[in-house]
Amino acid sequence: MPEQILPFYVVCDQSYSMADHLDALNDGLAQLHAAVGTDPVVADKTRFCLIGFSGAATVLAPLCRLSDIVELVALATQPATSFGEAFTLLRETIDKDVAALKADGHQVYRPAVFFLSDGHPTDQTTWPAAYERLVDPEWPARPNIISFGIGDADATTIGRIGTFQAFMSHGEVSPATALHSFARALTTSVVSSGGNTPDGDLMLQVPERVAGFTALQVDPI
Amino acid sequence: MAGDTVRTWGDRGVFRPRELGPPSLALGAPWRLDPVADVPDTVVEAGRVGALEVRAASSRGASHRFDGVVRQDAVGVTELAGRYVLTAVAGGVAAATDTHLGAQLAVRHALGYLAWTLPNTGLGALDVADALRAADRAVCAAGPDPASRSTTLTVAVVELGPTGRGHRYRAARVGNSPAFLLTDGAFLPLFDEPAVRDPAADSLPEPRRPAGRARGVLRSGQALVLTSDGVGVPVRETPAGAYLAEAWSEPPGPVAYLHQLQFDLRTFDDDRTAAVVWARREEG
Repeated sequence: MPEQILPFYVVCDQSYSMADHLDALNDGLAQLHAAVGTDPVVADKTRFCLIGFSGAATVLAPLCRLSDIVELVALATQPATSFGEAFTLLRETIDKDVAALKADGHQVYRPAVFFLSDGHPTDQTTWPAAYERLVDPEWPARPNIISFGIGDADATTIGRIGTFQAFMSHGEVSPATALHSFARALTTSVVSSGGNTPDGDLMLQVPERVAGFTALQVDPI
Repeated sequence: MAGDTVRTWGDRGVFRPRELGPPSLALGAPWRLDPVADVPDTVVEAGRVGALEVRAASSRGASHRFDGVVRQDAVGVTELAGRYVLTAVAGGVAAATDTHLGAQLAVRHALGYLAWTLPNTGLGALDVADALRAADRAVCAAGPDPASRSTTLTVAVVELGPTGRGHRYRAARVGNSPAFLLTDGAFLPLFDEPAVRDPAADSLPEPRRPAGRARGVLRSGQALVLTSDGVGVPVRETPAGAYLAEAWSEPPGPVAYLHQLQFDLRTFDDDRTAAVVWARREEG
């Protein structure tokens, strides 16, 4: 049965420098899981995928309905922070997922990526090339990226990664609230009349402010 | 909640919405009342005008019902001196804060304009797009920030005409709310449809592109169907098309018509609006 699906990728930095924040992030993901479970509009329209990265990147939960997941895999710290690994895996995963959804006859909206990191990559010189491949305008499935700076994050790097919006955490607020409100806003805009195209151009209407976060100017590279 | 197909809220038995696929979670959730008192969840209209049968309904979609958001679509049907049936469908533009106001205004003023001008011009000299312009003026003039009242609008006039020769019709639209001619079990697009749906679809007020126009003759057994995206897109792209083509092979009763528009198709949770004019099959 054809459906209109918004794939959602949550990409979490689990490097050692994130150690102080991982418990909060895990709680946040659990809250997101619970919130979406009670939000049928979002639950119907979105599919979630969780990717964790450090020196390497791993799909911790493959793309599925969040309501089908019983318990999310917990993030655990690992050495190093390779943005390049994360972006490369993200592109491969999105490519595969979108192809599979389309093969099932679904209408797929442009994927949304939530990138959460403290913004201190250990592959400073090589990640930009992987990032360019992820946001390549020639690639039809290129995602809209919303980046969140966690803890002592580097605002410049976080601002550079968000293609759509970038936020810096400035308090104790869990990103879960922010993620849920984005999921809501994105699925609401999927509903909007005439606001989308079959090949995935979705007019994004997302909150300009997220409690506990400061919006950064998105920096076009 | 996963896999829960037992509805805890809403209609059951024969009134339960027809599931055209895996049941959606949104449809089983309790509705919330919306803050706008004078725009009800659902309106339904039905009538016979000579050889024409008319059905129209507009309902909040599952997402607006769950979120407690006002119905953003509007529909209007009327007859003019037993000679014409006038129909209009306005599809809300979710990004606009007062789109429901724009939709209501657009329908009312487009039909008002046609009722005023048709007795003088007749169908032959009528440009239906003038009704869109009248609606545009009304949407613009209703207060500051006209863009907050953005809406699509499709209007159609069907003439009763002399017996046995079919019914001439004229239609025009701003935006790409789907409209169809239902004939021999198939929904044929009434207007030229763009190959790719435009992300910045046109709307009132102050449309950027010329109005789409269509004209023809409605033959016995055919139906002219105006819809908002919430009905037209699933009709075009999903098994809802086959379902409604079958359901509408003959004019259904008014309550059955409303029920048919409530079909459950996961993720298609936008407002459901359609106005249908059937040319009744000749008897004998």
